[in-house]
Amino acid sequence: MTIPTFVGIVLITFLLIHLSPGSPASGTAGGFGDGGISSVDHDRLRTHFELDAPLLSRFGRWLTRVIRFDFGRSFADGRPVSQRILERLYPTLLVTLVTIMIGLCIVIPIASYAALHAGKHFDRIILGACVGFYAIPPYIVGMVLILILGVRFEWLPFSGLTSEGYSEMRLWQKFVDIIQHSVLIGCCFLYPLVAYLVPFVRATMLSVLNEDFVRAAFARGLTKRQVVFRHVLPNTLGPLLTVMGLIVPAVLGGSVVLEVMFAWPGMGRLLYESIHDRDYPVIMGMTVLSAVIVLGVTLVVDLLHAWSDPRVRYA
Amino acid sequence: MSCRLRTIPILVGLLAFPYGAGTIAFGTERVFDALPDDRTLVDEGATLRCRLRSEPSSFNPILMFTAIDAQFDYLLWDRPFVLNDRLEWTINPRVVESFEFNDNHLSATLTLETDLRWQDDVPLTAADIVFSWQRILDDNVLARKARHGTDQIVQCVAVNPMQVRFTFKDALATNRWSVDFPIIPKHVYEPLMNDDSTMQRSDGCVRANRHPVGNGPYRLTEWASGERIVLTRWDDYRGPKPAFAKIVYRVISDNNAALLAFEAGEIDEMSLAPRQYAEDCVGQRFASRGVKVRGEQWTNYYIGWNTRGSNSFLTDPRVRRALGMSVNRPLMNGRVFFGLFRESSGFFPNAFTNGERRATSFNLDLAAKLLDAAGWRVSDDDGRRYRSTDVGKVRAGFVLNLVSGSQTSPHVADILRSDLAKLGIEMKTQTLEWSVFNERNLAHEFDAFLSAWTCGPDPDEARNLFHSNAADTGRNYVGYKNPKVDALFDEGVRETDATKRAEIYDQIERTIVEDEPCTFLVEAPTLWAFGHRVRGVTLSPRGPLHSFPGIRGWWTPNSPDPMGTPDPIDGPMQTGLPDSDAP
Repeated sequence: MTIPTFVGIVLITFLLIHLSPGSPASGTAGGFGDGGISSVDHDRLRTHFELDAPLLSRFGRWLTRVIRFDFGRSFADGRPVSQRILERLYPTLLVTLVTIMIGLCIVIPIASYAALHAGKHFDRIILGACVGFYAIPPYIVGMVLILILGVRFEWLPFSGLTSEGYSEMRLWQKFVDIIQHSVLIGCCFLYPLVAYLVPFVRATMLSVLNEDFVRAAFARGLTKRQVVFRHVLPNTLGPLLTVMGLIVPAVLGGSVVLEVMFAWPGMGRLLYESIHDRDYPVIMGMTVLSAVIVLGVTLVVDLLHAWSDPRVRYA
Repeated sequence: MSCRLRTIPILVGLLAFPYGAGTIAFGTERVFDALPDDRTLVDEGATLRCRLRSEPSSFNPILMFTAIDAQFDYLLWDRPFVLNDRLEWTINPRVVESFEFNDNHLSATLTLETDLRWQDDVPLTAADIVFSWQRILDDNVLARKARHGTDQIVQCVAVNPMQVRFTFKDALATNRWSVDFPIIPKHVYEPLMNDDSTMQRSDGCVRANRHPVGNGPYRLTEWASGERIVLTRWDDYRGPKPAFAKIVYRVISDNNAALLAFEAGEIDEMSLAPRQYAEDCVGQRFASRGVKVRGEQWTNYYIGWNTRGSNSFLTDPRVRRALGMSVNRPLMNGRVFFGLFRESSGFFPNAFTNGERRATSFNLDLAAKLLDAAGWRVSDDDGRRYRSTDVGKVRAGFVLNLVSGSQTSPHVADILRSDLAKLGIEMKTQTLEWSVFNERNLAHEFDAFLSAWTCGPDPDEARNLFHSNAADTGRNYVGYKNPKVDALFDEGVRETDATKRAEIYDQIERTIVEDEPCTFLVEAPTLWAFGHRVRGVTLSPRGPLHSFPGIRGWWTPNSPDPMGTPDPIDGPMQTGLPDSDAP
């Protein structure tokens, strides 16, 4: 089903963006000076962008090129779409994958401890904090972080991925520079993820803790640590992987608001700019990438499911 | 960037920090101090940090078409002709040895200076100019902005390596603008165009467009996509050396994020939105970082009325005049633009006419009388205006198209809607995304739209808005047609005497304001913030960046302040401008 799903996704996206009002020709109007565009210029632009051909023939041509891994050239600057996407993919991957990894390192111990002490003070405080943090939009937190840590105390940079003179820095300085730039935006990605996953993992663990096999494990005289690490955590992984399968593609798409706020050169900003400019090749390139990520992550999650749960493996 | 990573203390109580309090400002006059002759006062190793709203589409000046693209024009390129800070056509003595019109303005001869070189050390010759002219007029090349005017040149011939002869279609006063087209290096582009006649679709051309070989005082040395662009002073430039060794452009699309970056000292300049100028740039932190300035800009906000008959209410000039009288400009300026704008008095800058006030004043009583006279009378049933026609009663009303994302347009529309309701006219608004907004205008599928128009350096550019030739294929979206105005435009473009030209354009403005195909609302100023260390700024009617010398003339002092630090001034912020009528 993967190939029909993929073709369906790209076909629907192609039709949606080409049939929606507005076009690259009118989107790039508003030039310098008197700012208007004449219908003669508009027609020239349409011809230049090859928008004169029938829709399905355009789709066919595009799909034929994509099969050869040629995503075409951006309407905005003429560069290959793959080049434009790749240079924006790296900052997004950097901040999101690190965030997800740090998030999981925070979520699993906290959620485990809360589940094992369900109903106690720690559990209640954690649950309350998670609900509270989840309710605060990341851009509000981002603004507060920028004002305090960036503008007021000037501890951390809040704009862009690297500093001036980055290319002349030594390797360790480059590493520190990128880390410094990533801290604030990373925090904005991290806290909603943690606030969302902690209650989820806690609830899953609680249900596992009530299973007969866990009671049997305790009855056999295993310690709490042994029961949690050998029996509870592996059984919690399944639902967590399913949720991660949904979260990872969404996070990889980047956040337009956060990327604009932190001037972060990521995927979210590229998609926003491309939609605004009606840069069809870039939009389609990102759709393909997104579809591949979703399908790929789904495949990986299925494999991990099979690895972590013998019931899936032998089904 | 001064970023100090210290031990992070407990953040309890930080949210209560008194951010933004106080109204202390420093004097702004220093920002306009011209580059001193004594260069020992100037820090010639300094870096200027500028803000970019978005990345340029290309560094190929022939393909440039946005204000962002044009920002780099005078830095990377040395053109034969430039616009000074009053937007006057000026010969660039660094490039041109002589220029003269012949045959009663039907031809012109340009002689280049002898020592001109591209940044790769290849001589710049007449062949480059001819090649550039050919490419601009090449149908395969998308020279949207550069083609405008250049298409008046029918022949461009290299008489010798240093001399070019231009022949024009017609003897026009605007021919001097026609020769002001960008020049690209023939030796770079000619070999590349064998494979790509569009200059945009091959790796070679794209590389050349992104890493230009210019002839200006700066070279592009870094382009970190989505982040920054770095220009470095070209040491072999043979003209006057600009003061800043480097210019770093940071790509910050959001206005609020840019202001935070300014207050953190990450950028030295940025344009301000009216709200930012009036409300956000008033704190101690801003005052300690920089100053805000305001200057004249030839940009008018206006409502275009579709005169083509798609809405019968708008076809009668009396109705459009009544609608113009319903525009409460003082209220709009005060409420929406914080009193920073000026009420429009026409659409030409005073420099092009005799400066007389033309736009109609707010007068609902007179508007009601005009509507009555045009046959649109108030109904006793619902208080709305109707006109009886053969097919029945037609209600007075229209839909105003707005561009989405504008913070001010909805408020302008609200004020107008409220006043029109008092006259019994129903106004609805439709907010459209920019691309769709343009498409509707091009297809003439609208009743009215709210937009802005920036007048160019020559009044003939208004032809694009009001000449009947531009009604079907040009930018005359409203479909205005008046043979008298057409004749005046055609006369004005041929008149070379400045005084007579001013009289003609004065007459054009008077006629158009009477017919009111567009209602001009307010004149937007240039609003800008500069860091305290920036000097040498000049404000043109296109802002501080788009005139000559622009950033080339900016500098920063060697010591913190060689002329003495001004004392803090308590009270209202200083504008440092001749028209210092800011609140």
